[in-house]
Amino acid sequence: MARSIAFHRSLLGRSLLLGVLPAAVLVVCVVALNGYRAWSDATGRLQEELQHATGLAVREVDLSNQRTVAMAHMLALGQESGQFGRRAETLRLLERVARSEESIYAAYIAYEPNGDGGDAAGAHDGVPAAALGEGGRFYPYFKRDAKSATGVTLEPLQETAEGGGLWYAYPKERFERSGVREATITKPYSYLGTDIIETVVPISMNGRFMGIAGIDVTLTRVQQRMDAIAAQLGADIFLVTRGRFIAATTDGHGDGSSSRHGTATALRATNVADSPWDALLKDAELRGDTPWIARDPVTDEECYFATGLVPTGQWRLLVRTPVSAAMAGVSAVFLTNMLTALAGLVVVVAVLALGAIGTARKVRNAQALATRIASGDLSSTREEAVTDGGDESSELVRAMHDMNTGLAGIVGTVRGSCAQLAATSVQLAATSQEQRAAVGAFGASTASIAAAVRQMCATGAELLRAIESVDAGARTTADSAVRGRIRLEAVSTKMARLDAATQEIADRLQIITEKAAAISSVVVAISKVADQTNLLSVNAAIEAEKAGDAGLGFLVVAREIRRLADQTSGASLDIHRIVEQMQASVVAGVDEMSRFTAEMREGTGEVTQTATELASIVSSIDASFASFSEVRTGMSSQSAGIAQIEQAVVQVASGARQSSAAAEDFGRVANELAHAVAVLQDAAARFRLQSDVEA
Amino acid sequence: MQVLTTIVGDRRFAIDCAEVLEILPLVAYRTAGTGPSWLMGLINVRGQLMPLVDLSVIVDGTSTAPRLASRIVVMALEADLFEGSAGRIGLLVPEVAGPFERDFASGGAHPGFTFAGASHLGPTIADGQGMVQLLRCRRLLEGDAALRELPIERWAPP
Repeated sequence: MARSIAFHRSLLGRSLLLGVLPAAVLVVCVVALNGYRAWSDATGRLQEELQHATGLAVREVDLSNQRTVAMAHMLALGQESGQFGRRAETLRLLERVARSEESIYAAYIAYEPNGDGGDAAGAHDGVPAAALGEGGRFYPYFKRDAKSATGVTLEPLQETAEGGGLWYAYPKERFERSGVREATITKPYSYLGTDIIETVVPISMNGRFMGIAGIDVTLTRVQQRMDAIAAQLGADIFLVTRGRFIAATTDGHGDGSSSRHGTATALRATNVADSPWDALLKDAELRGDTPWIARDPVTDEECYFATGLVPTGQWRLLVRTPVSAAMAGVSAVFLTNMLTALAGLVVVVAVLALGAIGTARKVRNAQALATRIASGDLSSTREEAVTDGGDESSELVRAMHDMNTGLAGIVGTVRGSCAQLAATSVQLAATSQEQRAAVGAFGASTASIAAAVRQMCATGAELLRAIESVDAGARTTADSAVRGRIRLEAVSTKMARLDAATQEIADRLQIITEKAAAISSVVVAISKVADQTNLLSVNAAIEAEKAGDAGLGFLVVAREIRRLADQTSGASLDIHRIVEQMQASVVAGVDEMSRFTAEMREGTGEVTQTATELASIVSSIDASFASFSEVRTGMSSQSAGIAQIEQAVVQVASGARQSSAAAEDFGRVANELAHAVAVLQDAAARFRLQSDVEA
Repeated sequence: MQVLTTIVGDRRFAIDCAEVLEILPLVAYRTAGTGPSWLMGLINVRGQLMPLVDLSVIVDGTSTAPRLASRIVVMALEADLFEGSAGRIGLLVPEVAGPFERDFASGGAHPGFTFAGASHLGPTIADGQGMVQLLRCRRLLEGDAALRELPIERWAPP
C-alpha cells in the first residue's frame, strides 16, 4: 500500500519549499533594501530642505529688522545734521516716515527736557500741543490710525512704568555708558493696549545725549509675516527675541485652539521660561543649523526642528515640522513596492504548484506498481503500466513493468531447484549424525589414557628432581666444609702472629709511659726555673725603678726577662697538660690491648676445634656420593621412557579431537543447508505468478 | 707611679713600688702562735728575722692559701711596731704582677672613703683590666689602733 507522505516531504511541498521560499526571501530583501534607501534619501532631502527654508526665513526676518533700524537711524541722523530744535520741520518728517511703510506702526522723537531750549515757547505756529509733553518738552508720537484722514494721528508720548524705561531710560543709559550711537531693539510689550517692539536710536550732539528717535512695529504685523513664511514652508515657526520673549509663533496650542496656523496671540510677548518650549529652546541655542529630531513638549509628537539666529536683534528662529507629515510620501512608495512584490510571489507559487502536481501523479503510479512487486504480486498486466507522456516519470513506470516480467521467470526456476535441494540436505544430516557419535566415543577413551600417562610422567620427574637436589646439596656442603677448614687454619696462623704483635705493642706502650713521666719531671723543673726568673725580673724592675733615670735601661731588660719567664711558664704548662693526656691515653691503650689479647687467645682455641670437626664431616659426605649417583642414573632412564609414551598418546588424542571437530563441522553445514533450502522455499512461495492466478 | 698589682679575693689592689724593698717567694716561716689573726709568724731574710703578715686577712678577712705563685713583699714601716725587726715586715700576697705605670691622681680617680679603720685604702682608678685600688702599705699596721687590737680569730676546722 502507498504510505501517506508528509506534505513537506512530497514533490509539491519540496518544489514550493525550494522555489517559493528563496524567491520570497529575495523579494522581501529587495523591498526592505529599497524601502530603507528611499527612507534615508527622503530623510536627508527633508533635512536639507528644512535647513534651507530656515535660512531663508532667518534672512527675511533679518532684512525686516534691518529696515526698521535703518529708519530709526535716519530720524536720529536728521536731528544730528541740523534738524535738532527745528520742531515744526521735524514733525513733518516724522509724519511722512510714519505713513511711508505699511510695516511701521508708529514713529517718534523725544528730546531731553528743554534739550533744544524751546520748551518755554510751547505750542506755536506749526507745533501743536499734541506734540508736547510735560512742561513743553518736545515729545511727538505719530501712530497709524485708520479713522484719521491722513492715516496717522499725533499724540504726546506716554511714559508707562515699563515702556518709559525701555524706550528712553535704557537707550540713554546705554549711550552714556558706551558713547556709541547704537540701535536698541526692545522686548515685546504692551504700549497703551497694543503689543509692540520698539527700535530706538539715541540723538547725540557733540557727544552729548540729546534725546531719542524710534520706530514701533506691532507684534500683529510680525505675526502676519511669520504666518506667510510658515504657509510657504508648511511648518510652524517660533520667533524668540534676545531676552527670550516669544515675538511671534504660528503654533496654535497656546490659546487652546488646535489650528496650526492660527494667530496664537496668547503666546505672544510671553517669556519662553513660562512656556512649555523652554527646554527645547535651550537645546536649540546650543545647536548649529543642522535639523534634528525631538519630541514636541505639547503634542508629544516626533518632529523635525531647525533653528537659526537673526543677526539684527539677536532673535532666534525655531522651525518645527512633524515627522509623520514629512514622511507621508515615502510611506506611500514603500507600500506600493510591497504590494507589487506580493503579487509576483503569488504568481510564482501558482506556476510551481501546477508543474509539481502533474509529475507527482505519474510517480504515484510507479510507486503503486513497485509496492505490488515488493509484496510478491507479479501478476500485473501490461495495460496497467501504460501511461501517456514521454518524460522521465513515464519511462520509470514502463521500466517497472519490464522488471515485473523478468522476476516472474526467475521465481519459477527457483521453486523447482528448491525441492531437489531439500531432499539432498535431509540425507546429509542423517549421515553426519552417525559419524559424529563414533568419533566421540574414540576421543573419550584416548583422553583417559593420556591423563594416566601424564600423571606417571610427572611423578617420575618429581622424584628425579628430588634426588638431584639432595646430591647437589651434599656436594655443596662437602665443598664448603673443605674450604672452611682451610680458612680456619689460615686464621689460626694469623691469630698467633697477632698475639705476638700485641705483646710487642704493650711493651712499647710501657716504655712510652716511663718516658712521659720523665718529661713531666723536667717540665716541673722548668716551671720552677721560670717562676724564679719571674721573681728575679720583678725585683730587678723594682731596683731599676729606685735607681731613677740611671735604671731605665735596666728596667727594659727586666721587663723582657719577665716576659720570657711568663712565656716559658705558659709553654711548660701546655707541655705538662699534653704529657698528662698522653699518659692517660697510653694507660687506656695498654688496658684495651691486654683485654684484646685474652679474647684472641680464647678465639684461637675455638677455631682449632672447629677445624677438626669440619674434617670429620667432609669424610662422611664423600662416602655417600657413590650411592646417590647410582639411584639418579636409574631414575633418569625411567623418566625418558615415560615421556616417550606420553608423547605418543598425546598425538593419538589430538587426531581423535580433529576427527570429532570435522564431523561436527560437517553436521552443522548439513543442518545449515537444510535450513537455507527451507528459507528459499518460503521466499519462492511468497511470489504470486500469472499461472497461480489462472489456476 | 710604678705599681705592683695583686688580687685579694675578687678585688685588685696596687702597691707603690717605692714602698717595696724586695719580692721573695714563699719561704718557710716560724709561726707566731699568738697575736692578731693577720700575724703569721717570722721569716728569715738573709739572716735578718722579720714578721710575716697576711694581707688577705687585713683586706678581705680571709687567710691566703699558700701556692707556688704566692709572694712575700718586703717593705719598711715608718715606725718600728715590732721591736727588733728594724721596721721591716714581709707581706704575704696571693700573687704579684707588674710593675706597671698607673696614675692614681688622674681626673677619673675616686679619692677613696675615709671611714675609721680604712686609712690604708687609697684612691681607686679604672685601667684596662678593671678597677684597681691603691694600698698604702706603710699604714697597714700604723696609725690605726683598732687594726692592731683585732681579736685573735684563727680559722679552726670544725
